[in-house]
Amino acid sequence: MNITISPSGKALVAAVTGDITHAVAGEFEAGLFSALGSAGGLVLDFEGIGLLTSAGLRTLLLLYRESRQAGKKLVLAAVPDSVKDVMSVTGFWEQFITYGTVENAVAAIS
Amino acid sequence: MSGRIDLYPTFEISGWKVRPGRVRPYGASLVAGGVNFSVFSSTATTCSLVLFDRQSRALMGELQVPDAFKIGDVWSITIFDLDPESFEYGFRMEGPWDPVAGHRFDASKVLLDPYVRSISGRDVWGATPDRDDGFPYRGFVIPEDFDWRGDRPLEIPAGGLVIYEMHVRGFTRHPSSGVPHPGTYAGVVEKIPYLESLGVNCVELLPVFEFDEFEMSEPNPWTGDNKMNYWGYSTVGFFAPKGGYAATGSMGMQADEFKSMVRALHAAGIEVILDVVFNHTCEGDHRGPTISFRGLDNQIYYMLTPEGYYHNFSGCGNSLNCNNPVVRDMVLECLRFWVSEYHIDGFRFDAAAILGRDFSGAVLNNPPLLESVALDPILKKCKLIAEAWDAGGLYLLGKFPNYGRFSEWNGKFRDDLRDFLRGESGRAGLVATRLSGSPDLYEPGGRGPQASINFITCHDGFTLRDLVSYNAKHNDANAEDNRDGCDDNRSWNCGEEGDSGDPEIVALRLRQSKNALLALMVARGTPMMLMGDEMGRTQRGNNNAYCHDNEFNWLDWTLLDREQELFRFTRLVIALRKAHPVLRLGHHPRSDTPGALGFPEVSWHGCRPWEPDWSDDSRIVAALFATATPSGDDVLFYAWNAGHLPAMVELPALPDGLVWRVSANTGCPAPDDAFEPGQGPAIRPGSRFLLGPRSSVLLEVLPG
Repeated sequence: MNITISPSGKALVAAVTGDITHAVAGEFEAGLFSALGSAGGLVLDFEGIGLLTSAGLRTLLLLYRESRQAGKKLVLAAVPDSVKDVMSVTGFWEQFITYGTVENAVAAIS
Repeated sequence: MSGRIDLYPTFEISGWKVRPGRVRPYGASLVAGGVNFSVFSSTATTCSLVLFDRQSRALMGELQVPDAFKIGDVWSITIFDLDPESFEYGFRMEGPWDPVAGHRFDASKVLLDPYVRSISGRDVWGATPDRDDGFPYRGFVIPEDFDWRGDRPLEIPAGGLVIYEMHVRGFTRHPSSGVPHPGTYAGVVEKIPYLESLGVNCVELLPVFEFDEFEMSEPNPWTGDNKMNYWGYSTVGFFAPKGGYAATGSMGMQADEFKSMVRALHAAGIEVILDVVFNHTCEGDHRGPTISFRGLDNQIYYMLTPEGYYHNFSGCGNSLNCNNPVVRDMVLECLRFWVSEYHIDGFRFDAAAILGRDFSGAVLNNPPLLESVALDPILKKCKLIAEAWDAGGLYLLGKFPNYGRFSEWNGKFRDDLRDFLRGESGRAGLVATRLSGSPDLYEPGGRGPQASINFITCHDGFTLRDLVSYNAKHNDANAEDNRDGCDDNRSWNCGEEGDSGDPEIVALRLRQSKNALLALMVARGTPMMLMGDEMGRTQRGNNNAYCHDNEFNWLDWTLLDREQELFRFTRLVIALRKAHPVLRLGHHPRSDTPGALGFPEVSWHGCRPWEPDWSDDSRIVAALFATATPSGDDVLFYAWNAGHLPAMVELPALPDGLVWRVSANTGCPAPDDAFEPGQGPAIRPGSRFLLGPRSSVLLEVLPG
């Protein structure tokens, strides 16, 4: 897994590539939560995402809730259909705010 | 303060950092920093934990659990720095091979954990198994947290349930279902709007505990495909949802998908009952494979003969030794688990009579397992339904040890209504008894009508369409020379065996189907219908379709277009049941107890009011049900003419200002065959009612 963070308007965009699994869950959560601290909102660009495992999904949801508790917006963008599908049938998808493209996501939370 | 003071390794075994584990809970569970394992055996001499790489399936390591880690008969170990998503596991037990004494240890086998929460190996339905894999079913650990968003079991009163018995795969596997993930838990969710439109408020799922659809699989010369264990009455793991029913099974996310399905069904007001098989396991008899229980503690888990062979009260090779305290605990723990972790609303216990036997098969007066289940606080509100017989000849219908909690699949309801439907003589009185909730079976034990799960068809036997289309079973496609399956079908083909182009026969079959569905919804007790009966699903006369993963079993959704009339009728009679509390009361109606409008709770009639005909030749049953409720009087008149001639029926007189209104009449073609509650046409007071041949009516009372 790799995370590249870059500013875009008032938001930060974090492009996540590779797999989010139990093995990288801690790194994923800590990295993004600290990034969130300095931004008005965070767009997770999932275009390059690989596998999102059971533990990965839970980490994502925990991060989402932590961000909301901190009064920050966190949205998902460009989620590949295959990942969206897994998130949907396991009941995770409807818990997130999602956008088709990073541009739309940035525009929405800026 | 955070954390625990005991979560650090104290030993190293084969390079793994470990410490003595926590004995409870049994199985594998996530703990901070690692994974805890706990397994029981009364007789094994050693226990090793075997770890495999989840991706490559290669052996990762094997650790013999030191005796110092053992408390009583339980080995437990915590392993640190073990990524829970990276491994699968099993146990290897050493112990005596002494079949006469009941011991069949085999250290060459890696065994599945009996408490395992998720199992790989059969996670994609129908994927060709690797026959050379010595350990095909492997346990893995899953996060068990789930965001239920306030969901809990619905606890709908039993009388208000309308149960829809269905097979997860069969419900949406057919291409015509149009769902993105055919044949899965996700597919069920896609069809919730359909279930809502039908009006059922409970689905009873054929077995969903992990099983192997390839068990006993062999090429089928009749169909050209393989015979499969399609129904799934052969459990591999009692705590694990079937992976092959999950669209996400290949990712190991079947538990989340299953929970998501339950949450969605509950949000639509639909309960979930599981058909559970605790009478036997998938290990068969002494010739069967050693997968788990046999290799862990054979003489504890199974009922054995004095020679060390397996009692076969299940008809499936072995019998789980349910009243042994250890096994009893496992069953109880399993039920609690599904209720608390999966929010399951109830259970239907397959061949439940076995659960009342002791280790030798003798019938117990006060079976501890059943008592424990009935009185358990976690299970207190969930539905408990017994199939009150077993393959060993024990038949406990009406007498199942119920502790005021268990209801029963009422086989007599099925038989008597089928007989009357086909026009058998001498059944009018029996049908009246069944419509009353079978007080003959349940009143002596102080049980009400909710002890009776009323059904005319279920997965085992003819579908409703086949019940009116076949005189005999046609099971050739099972490749057993038509020997398998029940011969006591009490069916009638309406004049021609199988498909018919004769419009009169087609019309009669439709009418007979409506008669059956109306009687089912009118009868006191809890109605259960079979998936697809509302759209004329056929198995082409096969009454034992256990082995077909094909169109014998898959619900063809194009039937819905062709059978709109039957679907509409079914929907409306379900709505009528829901609209009328008198049909759902929790006691048997009595003819000597006041009901409403001057009528007793139930009164029986014939062609003339108050003159029922209970003679052998009678083909007419007519009942008036009446009760006073806080929201008003509820009075219904129901009449069923099972004879081939029409009958002129004089209706019981109503007080001034009230009239009978037709709410269902199977003698009329649609749309006059059924009406929305309260919307049917009035019958002129004093007029007689023509009840057509093989027809039934339900009348409501409303202001004129």
